[in-house]
Amino acid sequence: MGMNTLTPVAEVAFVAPEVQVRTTPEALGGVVTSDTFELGGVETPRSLSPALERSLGRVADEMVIGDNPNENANGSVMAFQSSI
Amino acid sequence: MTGEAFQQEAVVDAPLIPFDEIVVKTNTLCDKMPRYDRDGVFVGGCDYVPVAEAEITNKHGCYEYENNMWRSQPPRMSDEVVLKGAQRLGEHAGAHSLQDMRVIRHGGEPLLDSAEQVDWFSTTVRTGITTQSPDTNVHMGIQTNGLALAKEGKDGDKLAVLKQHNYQVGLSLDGDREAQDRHRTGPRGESDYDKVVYAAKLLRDSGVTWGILCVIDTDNDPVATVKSLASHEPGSISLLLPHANHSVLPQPGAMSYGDWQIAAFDWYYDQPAESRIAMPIFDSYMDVLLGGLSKHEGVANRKTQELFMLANGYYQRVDTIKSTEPGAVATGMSIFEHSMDDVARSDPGIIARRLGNAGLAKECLECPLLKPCSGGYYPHRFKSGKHRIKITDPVEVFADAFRHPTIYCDDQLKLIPHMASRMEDDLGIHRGTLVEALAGV
Repeated sequence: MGMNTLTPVAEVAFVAPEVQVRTTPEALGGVVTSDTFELGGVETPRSLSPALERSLGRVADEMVIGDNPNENANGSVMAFQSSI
Repeated sequence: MTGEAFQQEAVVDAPLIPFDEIVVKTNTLCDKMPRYDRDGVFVGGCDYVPVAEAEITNKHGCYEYENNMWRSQPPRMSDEVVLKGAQRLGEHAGAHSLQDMRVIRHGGEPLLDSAEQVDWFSTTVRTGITTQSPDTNVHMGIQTNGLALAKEGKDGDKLAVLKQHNYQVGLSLDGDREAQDRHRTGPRGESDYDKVVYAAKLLRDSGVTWGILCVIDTDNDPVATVKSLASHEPGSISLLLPHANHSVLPQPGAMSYGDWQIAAFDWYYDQPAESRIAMPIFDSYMDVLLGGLSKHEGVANRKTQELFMLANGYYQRVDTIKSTEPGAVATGMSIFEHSMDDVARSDPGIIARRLGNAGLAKECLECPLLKPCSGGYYPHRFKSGKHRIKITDPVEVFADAFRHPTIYCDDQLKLIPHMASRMEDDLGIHRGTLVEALAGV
């Protein structure tokens, strides 16, 4: 798992200060990988659940670029869902 | 003035929150409407209704929620209503400079309309919005049982129109054959599982964005259910709790709803990166646990931005509130007389739902899961009072009726900490960190 060589555009501290994401242009867009993930500011290669990686990416986007909360990054969500 | 009343007044005076997701009930009828024999015994069709109610009344399905409002609706939305509705959408989008507006065809079954009618509706709505609000991105969605798509096949005109207008399609499918046939048979009780699966194949092969909406039945194995749904390769899978509340209790089953959802979540959480399937409800919970925003109407204390337009041109609150009482869902306001701003500003049910923490029960406000749960899904918080809710009741009456923890509270208390624990283990932080951090915000 290699270290990211891209220049970070922002460092995002989540609600829990132990969790930080160093975002890159690649990360903005909903993709956070282990390469852009840090714990407590210390770069820590760690294998994350892909579902968690995507969640970190979405929330980082919200914090950095103020994404529309009702617009899902992959376009797969209708906020109202009822199958009846 | 009480503290609550003061907060409510403050909400009324607060900047208006626009509606950016409009669900349009284009069709009142459905090809899976419940049917009964001469003795009134249920024969077949879609039978989703809280089981206690069904056993007492032998009434099945969304058509038989006690308000039965569909009986007062025309079979389909007229052109006049579509044209006026489109004008109202554009007016609202323009007034609030909306970046995005989502318009969802719903029913009944919205694909009972012909391809030409769906095409005309889509063009009319998009034009109505963008003429008055050129910078608004219009997203079209539809929720279908898939039978009309299966009937036409791969070269069908309806599928082509959905693709042409870039529709996001929701398909109702509850799992494997046994699961689907529990509640969603054809009108004579026959299985139509193969037709729905064929519709899923058509959607997958067509390249449209689509997902599956599944109502949980805990008699179905959770992992087998999500595996079966995933085998159709949808873009997303949403697992929905059946509608129930403190006055109409949930159906008991083989396991608790909390344990069922935990098993499904674990399956999702452990999927490899190659899996392209999203589970939006779980995603929203994870986002909220990380301090982000809920993207799903049913997750956390999201102030509702959804509004319904009925086939007769009346505005309605979110349809799932039908599962409570008739007066809880109707607004009494029409597109011919009222703007969407009028609804946002003056409808007591909408205002009550946007109260934030002031709309939550005392035990919810004191709960460590206040932020990620926020009382659970709004219709599931309902408890009947001494009198049935009337359209003309003030905000306080609506607020009081829904100021209860979700009837699925025990399940939420299992599910959310489990999700948080999985994430905390993955992140290498102490268990409890995420929930504790949220509580401190």
